[in-house]
This record gives sequence, C-alpha cells and structure tokens, in this order.
Amino acid sequence: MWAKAYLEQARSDWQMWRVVHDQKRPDCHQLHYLQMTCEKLGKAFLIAGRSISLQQARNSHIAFKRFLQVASRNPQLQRLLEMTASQFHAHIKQMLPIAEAIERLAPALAQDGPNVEYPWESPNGQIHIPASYSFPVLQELNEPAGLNLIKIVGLVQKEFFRLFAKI
Amino acid sequence: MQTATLKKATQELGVSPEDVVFYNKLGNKAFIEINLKLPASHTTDDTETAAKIIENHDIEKAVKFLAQNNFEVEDGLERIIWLRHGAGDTIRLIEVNRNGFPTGRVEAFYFAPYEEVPFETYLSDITPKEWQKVLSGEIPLPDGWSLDDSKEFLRSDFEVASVG
Repeated sequence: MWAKAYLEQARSDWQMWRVVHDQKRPDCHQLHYLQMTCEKLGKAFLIAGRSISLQQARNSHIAFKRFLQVASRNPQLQRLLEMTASQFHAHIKQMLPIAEAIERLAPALAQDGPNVEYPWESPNGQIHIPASYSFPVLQELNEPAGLNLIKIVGLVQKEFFRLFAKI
Repeated sequence: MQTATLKKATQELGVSPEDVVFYNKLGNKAFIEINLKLPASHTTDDTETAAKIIENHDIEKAVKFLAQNNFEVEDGLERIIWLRHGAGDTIRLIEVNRNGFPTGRVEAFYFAPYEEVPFETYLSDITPKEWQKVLSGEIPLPDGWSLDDSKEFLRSDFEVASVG
C-alpha cells in the first residue's frame, strides 16, 4: 500500500518534470521534479523490498541509485531493453553518477552546496540562487547516459508492479 | 502442496512419482539425490520428502543461476549469501559488493519471479565492511531473516567471464 502511494506521487512528480522540461523552465524547477521523482521511486522500491520499516525508508537516501545498481543484475529488466547482460550492466553503470548527482540536489543531501530549493553560499562567498543557477547536471541529461537515465526512470515506473513489487 | 510439486516436476520429466523413488538410473541429478536420501522401503511421507527435495533442488538451481549471473556482471561482488532459514519459497540474498553504497542497514529490493528464477527474490547489496558488521551483530538482519542454514557462494565457485 505504501509502496503504491510513493509510486503514485513519483508518477505525479514525473508528469510535472515532463511539463517543466518541455517548457524549458529554469533548471532548478526541472531538476526539482526529477529529483523528487527519483527520491520517491527509490523509497517505493525500498518499501516493496519489505526489509526495513516505513520510517527507515522515509529517512533513506540515494535509494534510486542503489536500486539501479542492484537492478543492473536483473535479467528481466535487461530483456526489456533487449540487451545482453554485460551491455545492460554497462548501460546502467554509466548512468549511476548522474542518478546520484540528481538525488544529491535535495537540500538535505546538498550539504550547503548546490541544491534545487534554497540559496547557498559558495566557498568564495558568492551567494547563489537556484532559480538563476545553471546546473551542470541538466546538460548531462541531454547526453547519452542522461537520456538513458530518463528512459529508465520512465520504464521502471511502468513496470513497477510487474517486476519490482509484490501485488 | 508438496505432492503437487512432485507431480508437476515428474510430469515435466515424463516419469511418475513412483519412478522418482525407485529408479536410480535416470541420469538426472535431482533424482539421483532423491534416491540417495530416500530409504528403500518408502512411505507416503518419503514421497513428500521427495517433493521437498525437488523443490529445494529447483530453488537451489535458481539461486545458482542468479549467483552466476550476478558474479559475471558485477565485478565488485565478493560473496553472495543465500539465507534459507524461514524463507520458504522465496529467495533472500545478501550480496557483498566492493562497489556497493554503504547505508548501515541491510536493505533489500524485490524482484518478481521469471523463467529462470521462478521465485520471488529479495536482494540486498551491502559493502564488505557492512558484512563484517552483520557477522558481528552490529548491523541487524531484517525481521525474519537469519544466517542459520545460510549458504555462501564465492566468485571462485563459478566460472565467471568478467565483463569489466
């Protein structure tokens, strides 16, 4: 039930990501919705894994990247993408740094650095505002590894109940 | 339930459950194992035992498939622990991965059954340091998980073609 709830919220965040991305809204808003999609998806996968409490899942971090890392060994997902095992593993591996970078855009993980919600101060004393900051990771999303990440974020939502959660 | 499993297994192999118990030259490893474990004068209970052995054989085959696959694709995997105690028809694995992301917990992800692994699988990826903490009890296992009757697979147990 909770896994489904987190999935539904992730899907809604995903739809908003698509809207603000297509409309080329400021980087921070695009990335905020993508970060929230990944965060809630990661928690949904953890809850479906039934090994930790709901509270622990809520407090977990970088869960989506960790899910991808484990899912890179899943033959079912591999076949959906029509790749060999080694191709699929390499395919996922190349997108892990971007997945982590996106998850670390959450203020709780940004450690007073670049994040998508609140202004921050860089070591040289300059104050940055998310709304006017150019986030390098957004550029990476237009490159092959980033485009593949976007594709798999959509795919795992679609296949959630068939492959990754017990109904 | 176990008898049904035995019936299904034997039907797939084209023999009867009685064959499983009495014939010892079928050339099938599962059947040879059964014959080694069953007494000559079998009872219904022995047939149930045979069903259980087939069941275990199938799940072990699936776990070995997973272990082989995972060692091949993830070069950071040092060992895979199959936690059998209380798991029933589900597979619980802890994979000790040098490339893992430490969380200080044993967090599992669920994977649905599929052709080669027709069992629900719960897979947790932890670092070697976390594994040491699991062994020392500093990191607890999830509720219901136990290292009792667990089985460990090492990379050296498999012929692994590294994919780098």
